[in-house]
Formats: sequence, C-alpha cells, structure tokens
Amino acid sequence: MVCTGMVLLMFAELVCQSNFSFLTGASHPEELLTTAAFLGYEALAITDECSVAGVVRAYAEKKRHNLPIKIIVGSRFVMAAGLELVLLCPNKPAYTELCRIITNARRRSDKGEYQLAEWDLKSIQHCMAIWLPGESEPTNDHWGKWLTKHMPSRCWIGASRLLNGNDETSWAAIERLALRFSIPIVATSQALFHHSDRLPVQHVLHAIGQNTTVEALGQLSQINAERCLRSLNKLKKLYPKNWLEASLDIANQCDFCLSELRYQYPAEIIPEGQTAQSYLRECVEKGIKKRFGQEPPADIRALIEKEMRLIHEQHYEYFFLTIYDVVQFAAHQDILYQGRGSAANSVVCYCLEITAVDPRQINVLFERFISKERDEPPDIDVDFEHSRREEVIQYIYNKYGRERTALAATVIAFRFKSAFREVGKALGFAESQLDYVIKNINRRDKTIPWKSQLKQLGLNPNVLRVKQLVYLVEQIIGFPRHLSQHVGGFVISAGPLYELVPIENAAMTERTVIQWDKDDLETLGLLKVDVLALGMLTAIQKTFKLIEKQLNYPVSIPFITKLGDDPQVYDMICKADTVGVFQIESRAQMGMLPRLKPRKYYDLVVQIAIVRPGPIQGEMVHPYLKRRQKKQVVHYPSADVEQVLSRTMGVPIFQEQVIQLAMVAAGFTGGEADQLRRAMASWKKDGRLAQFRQKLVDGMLSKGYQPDFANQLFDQIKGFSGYGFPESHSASFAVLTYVSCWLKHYFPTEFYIGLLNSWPMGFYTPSQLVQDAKRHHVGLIPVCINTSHWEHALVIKGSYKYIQLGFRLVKGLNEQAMARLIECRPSTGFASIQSVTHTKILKNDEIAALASADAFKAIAGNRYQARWQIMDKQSELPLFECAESEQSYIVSPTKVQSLIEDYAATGLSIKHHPIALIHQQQNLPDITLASSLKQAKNKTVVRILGCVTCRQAPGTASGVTFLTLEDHTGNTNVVVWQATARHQQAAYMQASILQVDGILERSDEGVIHVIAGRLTDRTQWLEDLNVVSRDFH
Amino acid sequence: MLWVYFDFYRLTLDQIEVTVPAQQDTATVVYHASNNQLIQVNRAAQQAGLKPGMGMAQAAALCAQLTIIDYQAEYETKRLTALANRLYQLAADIVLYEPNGLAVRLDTLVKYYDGLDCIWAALSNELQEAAVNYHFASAWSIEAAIVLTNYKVNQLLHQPQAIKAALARCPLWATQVEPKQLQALKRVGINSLAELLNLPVTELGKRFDNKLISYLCALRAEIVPKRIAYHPPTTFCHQLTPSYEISEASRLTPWLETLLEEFLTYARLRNKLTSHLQFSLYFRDHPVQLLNIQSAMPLSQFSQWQSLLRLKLETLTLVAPVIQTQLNVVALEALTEQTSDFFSNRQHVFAQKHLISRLKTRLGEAAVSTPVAGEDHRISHHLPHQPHSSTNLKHTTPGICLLACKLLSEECHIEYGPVRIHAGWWDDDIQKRDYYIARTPTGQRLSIFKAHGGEWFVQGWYC
Repeated sequence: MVCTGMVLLMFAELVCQSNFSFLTGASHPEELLTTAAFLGYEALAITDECSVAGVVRAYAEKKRHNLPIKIIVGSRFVMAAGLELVLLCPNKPAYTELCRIITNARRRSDKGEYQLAEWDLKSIQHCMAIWLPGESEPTNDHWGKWLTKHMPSRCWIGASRLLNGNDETSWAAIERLALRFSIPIVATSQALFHHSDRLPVQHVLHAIGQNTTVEALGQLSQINAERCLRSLNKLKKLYPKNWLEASLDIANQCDFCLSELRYQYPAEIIPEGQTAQSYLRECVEKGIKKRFGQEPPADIRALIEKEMRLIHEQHYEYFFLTIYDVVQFAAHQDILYQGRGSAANSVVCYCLEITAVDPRQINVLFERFISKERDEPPDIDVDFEHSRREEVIQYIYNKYGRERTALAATVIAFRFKSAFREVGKALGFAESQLDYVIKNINRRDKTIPWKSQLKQLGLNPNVLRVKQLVYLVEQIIGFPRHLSQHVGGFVISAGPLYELVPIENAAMTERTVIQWDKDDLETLGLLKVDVLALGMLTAIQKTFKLIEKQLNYPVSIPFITKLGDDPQVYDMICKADTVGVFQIESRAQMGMLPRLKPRKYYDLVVQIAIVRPGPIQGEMVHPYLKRRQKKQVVHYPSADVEQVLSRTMGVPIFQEQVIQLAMVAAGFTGGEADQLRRAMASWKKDGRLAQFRQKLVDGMLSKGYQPDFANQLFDQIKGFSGYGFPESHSASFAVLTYVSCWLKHYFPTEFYIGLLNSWPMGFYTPSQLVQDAKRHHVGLIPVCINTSHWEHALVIKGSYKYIQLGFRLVKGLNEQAMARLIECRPSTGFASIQSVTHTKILKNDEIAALASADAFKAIAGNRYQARWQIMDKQSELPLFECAESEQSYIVSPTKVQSLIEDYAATGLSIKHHPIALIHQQQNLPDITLASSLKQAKNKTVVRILGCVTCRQAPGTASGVTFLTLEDHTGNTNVVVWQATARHQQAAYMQASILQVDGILERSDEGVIHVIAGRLTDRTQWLEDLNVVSRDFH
Repeated sequence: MLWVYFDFYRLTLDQIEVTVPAQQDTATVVYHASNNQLIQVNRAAQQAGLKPGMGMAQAAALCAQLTIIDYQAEYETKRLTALANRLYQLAADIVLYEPNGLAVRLDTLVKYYDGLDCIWAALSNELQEAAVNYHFASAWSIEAAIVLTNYKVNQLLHQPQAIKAALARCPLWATQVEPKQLQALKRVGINSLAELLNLPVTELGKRFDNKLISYLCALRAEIVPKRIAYHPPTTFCHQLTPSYEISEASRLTPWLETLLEEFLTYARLRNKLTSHLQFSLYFRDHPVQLLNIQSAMPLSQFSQWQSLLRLKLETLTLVAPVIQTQLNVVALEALTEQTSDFFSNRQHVFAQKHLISRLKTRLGEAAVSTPVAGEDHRISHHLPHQPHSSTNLKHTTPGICLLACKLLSEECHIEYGPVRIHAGWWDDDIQKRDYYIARTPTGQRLSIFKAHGGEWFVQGWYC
C-alpha cells in the first residue's frame, strides 16, 4: 500500500507475462514479483501464454523472501478467431479447470504450440476472465455477446494505456463495449518486463521469435517501455480510479495459492483392506526376512523403526510403495536395477529391495536419510538396464494410464552459444561471423573471459553494436527457451494429472511432459519417481547370466556384496587394472587409483566422488591423499566439524558434507541449508550462491572459526557448485563399481562379453576392450558365418574360455535378418557362400559386410576370394544356380590390408595390432613398448609409439592435453603441455599414429606418464589405417 | 585418333594471380566447404605445410594468415569456357569436362599445322598467355588421355606401345571408374589398371555392369563413346572472384575493368557491340546486387565504358563486402551503320540517368532522396534515401516532416498526446520522446515533441 497524497492507492497487475512466455516476456518471474512487491502492488498475476510454467518460480521467490504480495495464477490465450483473454484462478476448482484447458489446447498441437477451441471456453465454470478486445469492431461485438452469454459476472475488459498512439481509439472502443454489454473495465499494463531497462531485451527476443533483426522489426516492435510494471503514482495519472480499484476487486476474489496443491498418490498400489502404513510395514517385514533371515540385529531393527517413523510422519509411505511397485515389476521381469540417492540408501529401501547397498557396510550414511529438519523431499533415483528401461516406462504408462502419468519437464535455457548466436542474428551480425566466433572462443580459458576474446576474433569491443551484443547476451543467458523432457522423472497421481498441472506434448511421439521441472516440483513438495537408464547394469546382468549358465547358481549384486571386501579384487583396483569397470575406468580415475589405494568399500565411495571437477577445483584432492598416506596430520577446528568430516579425513568431498558444515559451523537453519543446496545446484545459471557468502563467513566467525577457514569453505562450496557429487549416489555407484571389478577379476571372459554385448556404453570402444581382454589372456575367436551368433558368446574348449565374436560387431548387419539366417543354418554349418545367398535372407550389402568382416573364411577363403564369389551375379540366375563358381581367383590381402579391413568392417582387429605390424615392418630398436616402461628409469628420455585412442583436454587441467597411446602391449598416458602442442600443431592434431619423445615420470605409487617433448606424426606408416580417436574437449 | 587432355587443376587461383599478382606471396587456398577440403593451394600455402585434401581446421591451425576462397564449380566452369573460347581459334574439336578439364583432338590438325610439335606449340602458347597451370597427356582416346593426365604423366605420347606402357603403370584411382566400382575392385584386391585390364572380360561381365565394360573398351579405343563438341556461346557471361572481400566500391574498379576488357575482346572478335552492361555483385549474406550501366548508343571503346563505369562506382554504396563479380551481356548487336546513330531516342533515357548521376555527384548523396514512409517508430527515420516498400503510416505521423527538427517558436495548444517513442538503441540514434499534436492560432496542426532538456521541437506538419 502506498500513500499518494491524501489518497491510499492500491493496485493489482492482472495481466503479466514472464519469460516463460518464450521470446515474448523479458523478465524472470522472480524479478517481476520482487518488483511488484517493491512498487507496493497488492497482487501480481503471472499469466504466461497458455502456460503456468513460470508461476512456481514466482511462488518460490515469495516463499524465499517472505514477500508481502499475493500471487495469482492465470494464463493468457489468443484464439485464431480473434479473441484474446486472460483467465485467472480464484480458487482450486478454477485452477484445475485452467490446467485442463491448457492441457487440451496443448495436446492437440505440436510441441510448443497450442490451439484453444471455443468449446474449451464454454466449459469454464470457475475461472475469471479479462478480455483484451482487438481492433476489429465486428469481432469485438461477436465476442462481447459471447462472453456476456457464457461468462456472465466473471468477465472484465482489460484497458491499457500504453502511450502508443492508439490509446484514445482503443479506450473509446472499450468504453463502448463496456456500456453495450455491461462488462466492467479493469486497468492493466499488460506487463512484459519488470523494468523499462529490459526494453532492448524484449526487442531482441521478439526479433528472435520472428527470425529477423531488431532493425527490421520496425513498427512491429514495442514502441516504448510502457509494458513494464509501472509505479502507482504513474498509474494513478494514467487510469480512472474505478478501473484501478477493479483490479483489487478481482485480486481479492482470488484466494487460490499453489501451496494448496496436494499430491495424491495412486491408491491401487495398496491392497484392499490395508492402509499405506500397514502395507509398507508388511512389505518391509517381508524384506527383513529375505535380507537378514528371521530377525535383524538390534541396531538395524532400531534403525528400521526410526526410518518407518520418519516416513510416517512425513507421509512418504506412498512414495516408497510406488517405487517398490516399479522395482518389483523389474525384478519379476529379470531387469537389473539399483536405487540411489539419500533415501535410497536406507535400511527400508534395502528391505524393499530398492537398493542392494547393505546398510551394515555403510552405516555411516544413515544420517543422510530423510531430513525432517530440512524438509527435503526424499531422493530416490532408480537405474535400470539401459536396454530394458523402456519396458519399465511402458509398465508405468500401462498401470497408471497416460492421464495420470507424465514426465517432468526440463527447462532448456539460453546458454552462451545459443544466446550469442541468436542475439547476434537479431542485431544483424552475419551468421558466418557468429559461427566463427562461437567456434573459436575458448570458454575453458578462465584467465581471459569470453568478452575479452572477441577482439582477437574480429569483433571490436569498443563498437556500439558489439557492446550491445555483449550486454544482451549476458542478459539473455539463463532465459528459458523451451520445455524439454526430463531424462526419466515421472510424476504419477491418483486422479488425472492435468488437474494438478498442465501437460503438453514432448518432441518424442507418445511422450508427454508436465509444465514444471524438478525444481518446481520440489518447491511444491510434489514427488517424482526417477526411472533412469544405466549401461553398466545391462553389462552386469549379461555377465550374471553367463556365469549362472556355467555354475547353475544364481549370481546377483547382493550375492557378491555379501562376500565382503575381497583383497584380490582390491589388488587389481590398486594396479589400475580397471578398463571396462564402472566409474573408475577413465584415465583420470586410473591415475588416482594407485595413489588412493582403495582397500574397502568406503574407499571406493570416496574414489568415485574425488575425481570430479568439484573436489579438484576446490583443491581437496591433494590434502586428502596426503592425509590418507599419513603424510599430513588431520586437524579439526571443532568437534562439530570433526563429526562431519572425520570419515573423509577432514576434507569435504561430498556435497552433503558441505551442507552439514554450513549447518554446524555457520549456524544455518535447515531451511537455509536447503536454500544453499539449491543455490549450489543452480549457481551456473543464476549466481544466487554469492549472496550466501557473507552469511556463511559471519556465521562461522561468530562461532569462533578463523576467517581463513571460513573463506576456504566458501571457495570449496563454489567449486562444488554444479559439479559436487552426493555421497548417497556415490555409495550406490560404488556397489556397481565393486561388482564390476569382482566380475572382471574372477570372470574376465564373461565380463568382457557382457560389456561388448551392452555396447555402446562406458568409456572404451570395443577395440580397446578387446585389446584389454587380450592382455588378460582371454581367447578371442573371430566372427564366423558358421559359429557366431548375433551377440558375442562364451565358448569353452577344455579348460579354456574364449569369446566368440558375434555378428553385432559387423557394421551394416540387421539383427532380425541375422537371427533368421542363424535359424536356417544347418547343424554342420553352411558349405559355401552360394548356400548362404540362396537362403535369400540377407541383402547384398549385408553379405558384403560379412565378407568384409572375413566371416566367410571357413567356407570361401580370404576376403578377396569371398567377395569375388559374391560379386558373381550369374550364379544367382536359376540356370546357373548349381554351376560351380570360378575358383581360380588367388589374390590375397597382405597383413596390413587385412588389418585395415578388420578395422573398417568391425572397428577392431584380433589378429594384428597396427603397432605390432609397424614393428614387424620397420626396425625400431629405440622405441619403448608400453609394457616395458615399468622397467625404464624415472626421469629419463623415452621414445614411444602408439595409436592415439584418446585426446582429452579437461577444463580442470589448465590447457594440458592428455593423450592415450595404445600399442600391442598396453596404454601409455602422455601429457602434452599447451606450448608443446602449439609448436607441433600438425602432429598434435592430425596424427593417428604418433611417436613421442619425452621424459618418463613415475610417481611413488608407480603411476607412469610421459611428458611429451617432440611429437612426430607416423600415420604414413599405416596410411589407410582407420583408428578412431575419441577426442574430449 | 589422338587426343590431348588438359586438367586445369588450379583454375580459380590462376585467375586471381593474374588479376592481383601480389597474391602469390600470400598463402591462399581454394576451399570446398561442403566436403571441408582444400582444393587448390598456392606456393606460399604449400610452404606453410598445406596441401590439397586437407580440412579447414588443420589448415587454419597450420597457417594463421590464410586467404580462403570458396570453391565454386560453376565459377570454374565459366573460366573453363573462357579458355575453350580461346582455344577454339586453334582447334575445332574440343570437348569440355566440367568444371576444369578439356580435351582437344590432335590427329585431324596434323596436316594443317605440319606436325604434332607445331600444334603443341600453338596450344601451349595460347595457354601460357592465358596464364593457367595444367597437367596434360595424349593418348588414343580421351578416356586414356584422362587416366594419364590424372596420373600426371605430362607427356605428348603418340606411339601405341608407349601409351600402353604408360597406362599399365597407372593406379586404378586415376581412372574414371565410378567410386563405388573402384571400391568394389579395391575390395577384391585390384588396385592398378594393369591388374584390371588383365582380368578376363567374361569374368568381369559376370560381376560388373555394362558401364564398366564400355569404359574399358573406350579406354582401349575399341569403341568411341558419344560426346558433345564445344560450341562458343552467343552471349557473354564471365565471373571473377576477388581474393579478398571488397568493402569499398572504388576497390571494385580493377575487377570490373578486367571483366570489361574480357568482354570487349570477346565482342571485337565477333564484330559485336552493346549498349547495356549488367554487372552483378555477390555478397556472403545478402542477395545479389545488380549494377546496370546503359549507354544511349552501343559503345565499343574501353575508355567510353570505363568512364561510365567509374561514374557508377562513385555513387555506389556497398551493403556488405563483395565476394564475387560477374559481367553479363545478353543484348549484343551487330556493328552496323544504325548502331552508331547518335541522335536515336535512347539519348533521352541516357540524359535522364546522366542528370541524376550528376546531381548526386555535385550535391552529395544525401541531397537527393525519394520521400516515402518508413517502418521505423522514429518519425525522423521516415525519410530513407533508399526507396521503401511499405507506406503504412500511422495517423500520428505528420504528412510533411523536417529532416532536421526546429525549435518551436510559436504559441500553440496541445490537441492530442502523448505518444511515447523509445527506440533506436540498436543504431545509436536513441530517441526517447513524447510526441503531441498541437494547433497554432492560425489553425496549423504541428507534430511537436519535448526533448530531455525541456525544449519543444517541431517535427512536421499535418496536411
């Protein structure tokens, strides 16, 4: 309320679009609400076009800052028939109605569009409407009559004074309509932005939407900045008093608040005659028997009871039971899964078989279960086998129906590249120039921000247009662009979901998304069930099946974890022999393993979380290693801090620890800590984290901590932002890591088969996996028309196990066709190529692909001979079918040609390695093989040669590139400094086969790197060889 | 039969180095964007490590100061046609292989030139004058000559044994066998032409289509495929691609004058004249701009056209840097008595255009404008010099507008307003003004606005 002279003026803006009216609104909902509260508005309606996607953000802002302003939920609609109106929700039934209308309008159109029908409007019983008449008199007369008939006493005419030259005409028309149809008038600014400064942003967004330039928009653009939230004094001058008062009348009738939304879980998961609580109890008790025998140890029982109490108090029974239902389905279908997240690592979840993490191994994590104080929603993500997740999704859709199930949305916002390109185009920059700048700007270079790099790229920062570009790009980064679908977050409800939140079509057919993302759902306390896909689960499941077939004994994740920590498995891990295993297989992880030397499960939990940008940027890795190696004494500034950090030797490694530190050391309340957690998650987007600095530092100083410690903690929090890894997730991952290592150690052949049959997944190509298998003395049998199946198979000959490579490796084959061919394959195998072609199952190019993979070797000689026979079209003619084909073709490929063909047809070669062939061809005594580097003296010059299989330039490594060179004896990590790379660009960028002369560096733990000096491109030694390098930048 | 085949492997670069000789010292490449390959590389670029077939990322990394010219097959075809035009004076049997190859039949010319050496001297002299680089070879058929040229034999062979021996040394990639078939042959271990020619035709016939068999027959000169002989065109259309983007109109002069010279040579050889030249200027991101130059009467002198061209260029403003130029002359007239008639009606058209051009030159570009309504909110922007399409005037827009606003000096009262205009941040002419319609005691209606400082200005009058 603002006192203007003697009159108390009050106003509510009832037509206001945020930037969730994509490419129209030019302010965030939070900005609009804060400004409206500052200006003294009584209420603000967020009325995005056919959407309620933005209003939750405003609601969260109001809660966060306790703003004295009412939020009204509404939406603006434009109908093709010339009607433009805003619907507002006075109560819950009206909100349900609005969601239904938006859903209908959205569902009948393609993604991002809507189509409102007259019928939708006729069905409105509760919503209030503000009509925004157009310029056509007959159309206005038609809709005036229509609204009087269908929405009597719930309709107002919105009048705007926008100083655009049309005010007098439009007001005259509005007054005439009001008089004729007895519809009251309400004042509105039809706000598109919170402050007049945002006019250029609105112009740019408008131009992007119209796919033109701001200059070319001409008179289509906003003529002035009047469509902002204007001061009450100004409004008083612009509008008659009764029109302003009408806005308050409407606002006063709107009592609906988003906090009224209550999520109702589907009831069908509870058997008749039971309550959610009793059924959950029954399921947990059943699980206890399965997991612990008759009665668990007393401490575990106490924990179960504590958790059950918490679940009951927070009313989360349905949530646990819903996930229980989904995982039960997966279990029945023999789909491997694993739950993760803070709530997932509870004993209740262990008993419900949501997770396989045995609480006796990780009791340290229980404090992270549901925090009543922080009032966070429970966090359970369930990973399923990636090849079978769709079955789970379809089960959810079938069980609850499409009306009651939809995916959460992900708001796709403008990021640097998209903002730069779109704003640049709108300002009239040539696309080619924008493309050039985007491709050449180095966003990793923290020392030179992108703005400073523009000059080098031909954009003079002193020129007005470039200044405008920089300013507007910065403004627009973070603006929502469109809604996309969340990777697997399902919202399931008791009644139709569209009564809770509007649903719209996703880009993928048959998929629907709600208009809120995971943060919005969290704000409103609505729960989602995360159904995610994980390739390693497929690999593990396939490996289990192979082992079960041999041992005739079921193998499972709990079976392996129950065996306890196996020293032999950890010996393998400490040697960094981890190619193909889960999470600890990357170059960086493998470099850390010999240093960290994991010996037990919790060490793996730490290992997984520590090689991440968060801990690396927060400079936590080295202190942890030193303390672990007992080279540094651990000091805790207080007992509270010790309690939080003792399990990680005084170094915060997990996201949870950072939050806990803020609570115990800086006195953050549960609510504040939750805000900090969210700010950390969205720091890159909105920079909200900075506002916590002072509070954190002050809080810690007041509790007697040193300023250095306080500042260091904040820097660590910043390092964690967006990259921190939660302990609860790491704990679940560590189980899979251990299981995959166990399988690799005890059943390597089966494990490689499982991996190769689940590809694409993981860090390594099949070629690299096969090379690793060979180094582990695993036998490999090449693809053969008479012995291979689609998948790679286990062949046991005597006491030896082999991998029979499958047809899935051969490029260009169709799985169904090959299955049919295998069905037709005689028990003695095909006798000739003609007997394969005469089945008429395979197309010509498929037969050619098999020949290229040398799959006909057993029946038709080498590749060239096989192809020569295949190419003979005459033998396919009926008269010549039985004729003996020409067999005099005697051309044979050389070893190099075979190698090249192997790579071209299957992406790998099991017979030859390129480097081995080079060694055979050339006399290279001064080259040190990867396996011999262990014997080489530290700090000496070595010369190595290998295929470049990976080029990685991580953002945390300040310009250093890590190359992986593979030879037939192993992999070597090469460190290339920026200066070295710059001076030898050609070899550095182009070489497939590279010779490196450099200094060997071996750490105390035996980790070997070669620091590159001279780089020589040796690709010409095997010119055509197509060894694919995976480049990461 | 004996044919010689020429492969002009750096046609675009050759043309640039003729027009701008200094370009030879700068690393310059012709780049094929759609398959990301360098097609032509000059000596300076070669010294920097660049070679044809390289991708742009590699090239840019190896040589920072690189002039890049977009490859256009169409452009090269036009240059090739120009070369064929020149050679047509020496030999009648020419077959074009677009975009950059041509074959000339030699055996029919032997008797006119008194031997093969003389023919070769004439042809190579002409090509030297044209300053183009090429690979060449002769053989008993065009197909065989092409294979030898692709393999860079660069010899004038006419003895069958020598031709046969040379062909036997050629790899399969040098042939015109289709890539798919080439791949198929490679995949059964056939990599050289000798290996292919050694295979029995019956076995090949079982495995390959007739096209390959026909090609091999043509290669051996056992059959002569149909081909279209070159005939010179009846209109003139030449293109030139500058080696750099030209942003100033004056710098276009040498390029347009080179085109003009080429046209006048072409016309002189044919006894033709024209009164209309059409230059086309191509830009990277803008539509093509046409530059029409008309004379009242057909002209034949370079100096006459040059003065008109320069006059035109003086008044030309480029919307963006020019990347390519073209001269198109369609209306060619035979040189007759009438075409030299000075007093024909076309003189009036010429005079009118000439007058406007002269006015612009004398008074400046800004002084001559066409008053039309603009689409900008800013009223002062309603007087663009370029004609505008829309005339959708708002009722608040005055009928007569001042180019420069004047201070309001007479009493008046406001009848309507304000209309708030806040625009122009994008072109550094920001206008934040409240416009009003005011009426003077004499009944005149003015468009006035109040500036930031509080002064009132007149923008225009309502009619």
